[in-house]
Amino acid sequence: MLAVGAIPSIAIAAGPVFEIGTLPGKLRYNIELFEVKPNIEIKLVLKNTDEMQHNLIICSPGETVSMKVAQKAWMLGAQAIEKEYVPNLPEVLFHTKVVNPGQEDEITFRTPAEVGDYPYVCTIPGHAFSMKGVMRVTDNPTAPELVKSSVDKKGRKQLHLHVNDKPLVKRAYVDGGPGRSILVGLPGGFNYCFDAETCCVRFGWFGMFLDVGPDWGDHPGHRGGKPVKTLGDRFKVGATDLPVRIGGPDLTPQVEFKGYEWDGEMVPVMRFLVNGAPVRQTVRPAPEGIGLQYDFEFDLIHAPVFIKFDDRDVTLSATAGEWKEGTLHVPHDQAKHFSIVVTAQKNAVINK
Amino acid sequence: MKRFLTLFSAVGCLGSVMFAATPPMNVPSGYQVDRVELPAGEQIGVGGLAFLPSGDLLISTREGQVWRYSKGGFTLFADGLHEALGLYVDQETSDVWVMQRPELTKLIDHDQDGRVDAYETVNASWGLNDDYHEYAFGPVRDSQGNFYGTLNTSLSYEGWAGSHRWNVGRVLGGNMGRARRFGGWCFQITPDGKFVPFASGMRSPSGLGMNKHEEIFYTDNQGDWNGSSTLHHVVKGRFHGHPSSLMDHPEFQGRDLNELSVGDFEQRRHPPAVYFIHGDLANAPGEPRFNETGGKFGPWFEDQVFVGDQSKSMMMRVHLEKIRGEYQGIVFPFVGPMQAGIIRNVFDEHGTLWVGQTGRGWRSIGESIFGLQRIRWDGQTAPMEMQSVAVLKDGFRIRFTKPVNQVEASDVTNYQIRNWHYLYHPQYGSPKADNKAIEVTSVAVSADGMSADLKMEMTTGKVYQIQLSVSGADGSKLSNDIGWYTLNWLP
Repeated sequence: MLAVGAIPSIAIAAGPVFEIGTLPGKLRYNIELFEVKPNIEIKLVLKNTDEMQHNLIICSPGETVSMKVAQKAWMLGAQAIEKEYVPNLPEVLFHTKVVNPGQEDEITFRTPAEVGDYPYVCTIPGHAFSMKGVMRVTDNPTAPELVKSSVDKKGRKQLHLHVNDKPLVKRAYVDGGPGRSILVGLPGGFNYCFDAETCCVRFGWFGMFLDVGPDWGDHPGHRGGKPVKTLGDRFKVGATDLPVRIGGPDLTPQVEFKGYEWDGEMVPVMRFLVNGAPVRQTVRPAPEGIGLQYDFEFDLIHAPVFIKFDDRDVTLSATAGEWKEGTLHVPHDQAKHFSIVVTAQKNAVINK
Repeated sequence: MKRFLTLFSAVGCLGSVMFAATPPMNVPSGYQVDRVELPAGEQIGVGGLAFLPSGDLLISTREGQVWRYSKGGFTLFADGLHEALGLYVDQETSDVWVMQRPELTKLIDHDQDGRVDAYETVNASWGLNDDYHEYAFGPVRDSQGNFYGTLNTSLSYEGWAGSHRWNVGRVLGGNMGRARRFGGWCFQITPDGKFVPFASGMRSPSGLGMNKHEEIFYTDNQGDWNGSSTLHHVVKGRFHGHPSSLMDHPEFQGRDLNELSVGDFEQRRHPPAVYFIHGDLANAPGEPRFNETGGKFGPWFEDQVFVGDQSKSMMMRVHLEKIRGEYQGIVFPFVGPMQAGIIRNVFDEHGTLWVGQTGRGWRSIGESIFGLQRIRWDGQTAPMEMQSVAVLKDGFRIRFTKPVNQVEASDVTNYQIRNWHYLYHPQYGSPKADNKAIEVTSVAVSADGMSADLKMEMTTGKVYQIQLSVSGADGSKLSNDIGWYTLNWLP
């Protein structure tokens, strides 16, 4: 085994223990191309020296296959962690489990009989854009061919915020969001933008969390202060202005944001007042599909609660009340605690 | 006088970038500057500094974090804030508040694990678009428990906000407008959380300070309606000059400010207490910090105001006096240029001045883009400085920190005085209007050599540049031989 230079490719012949590492903070494997003979047994070790979790899935040949596998993994929603981010697809040939920072996982497999380029990829949400490589199955492994480095020509520092096993919150201007945006990244690759002015979720996205370079200044002389970029695909959540109402669906509410907290839970809880009544909203990934689950808690309510959605392009369900044209009507005695699941239909996902 | 070039190692990745040749840092005798090592790889553009009663320092950053610095090093106290430009710590309860763009927030660590777990909104009554310049600054707090903060106007150039609201509230062609509620205001937040508009007319009020008498001062940055950067005494109801804020003033509700004239605004405007000389001294002053250390930072400078500049990386020293009930005074250079643009500074219990730096945005002088430095007095050495300049009916009295050479100080040709004024107008900045030399007609040095009274023609509404070629009786040279006195009123 050879390991020369930053991102080498290597050729292996038969039966060795073959190690692929991860580059700290780079969202890349240390080997992005390796060559191997067909139909031999190899041991592959994924050694994770990065500060976030990674896996490695070897897929069947095809240029778009690794992204398809990764996106399917991101859509596993709440099941993702249990399934090690491995989707149930015929394109998945071999895979490691999710490897925590500083740990490793070893798998043994027989290489395919057919020669060709077999892509491998990390399916932790968002990583697939840069964390990928190719296992080249060839009858005639040759000398290593160096893979070109994709370092930014302008020398920009990558300032990405990544979510591992705990949610992250970042308040910042965001492309297409309100001034009082609160951006939350949840484990599992689901993220959302909460508007602290109107007290509602504006949109969601899945993939990685944020590129804060435009805000922090990512190269010398850069002023910063510009909207951050969401990393991944945005999806609609049927947001309307001032969706949480008390007393009547058409009564414009007075809302006041009161902050957020980690209240013994590992997800932030948004707190706000609607017409003076305290409301708590916890946002999680939807149990399945691309979407979010809102857990609402209302305190001391003596009037019905209404949650208004724009139901075009989204599918809505709730554990209490009834839906009337995209508005959930919840009697006051059921408002103490209820949940809504909003999932985006296909046309409500926008590639950013 | 001691001039030396300190050697710095890299601060993080961006911090290590070398800029064009920086002049050597000027430091008065008896004072020393050192640099605090920041955690490697972190970007810490200092936005706020405050000490906890334990002696640990909290540092809020433009990147939205709050770090805690103790002798053991740095730990992360809070995260995820939106450009955190100021901190306040209650010295009795250790409660912490942070000013971020969208709101004043109380930071609570319920489980006492050293990391904030509740971000409690105290007040968010001002507007916020996605405009680059819609900063929120402060807070300071009085003994009644009222907080005060200041809000930047909005830059009205397309492209500086994604919002369609970028071009709102420009007055008579000024380039800053009011695209959000209460832009250009100083506000008060009462102990029960109510928002009270307090004073108006601010442009880019990036520094807010309070002295032991609970008087509030703020600094403003040069630009439209502000010919050169300034220090102002904030009083409830006062209008400081930038008219866009009047959109939120009850007297101007529903009126088109563009139908008023410069003269209308000038009549209402309260002049600044001190001008910082644009180009020569400072282009972007930050927090005014009163030296109330009981002499620990040098007895000569007690109750004086220390203000850093973001573009010239200069620590300045201001001496204020009250004339006819109003503050005015003189600004001197003190230490600089430091390693990066200064916007915050705070004294610790030993009288050391901690200097928080961020050069991002306006490309400061210095070899770093951000950082933390300290200025310390050695407790014994007297620097050779003008301690203060006070206005007389017919001239100025210069006081020194040490006796001066009687011969040199008695010679009128050793004093070079100029005066000029700044134009109040919607254009960006102002030339030094009617800039001319002023003749010193006589000088009288006190018997102890500690002061000199200069006689000259005195004109109110002018800035006086006072420069001298005078040594100490012991032969020492002045560390800083120049100052600028803003003459609003004569005694």
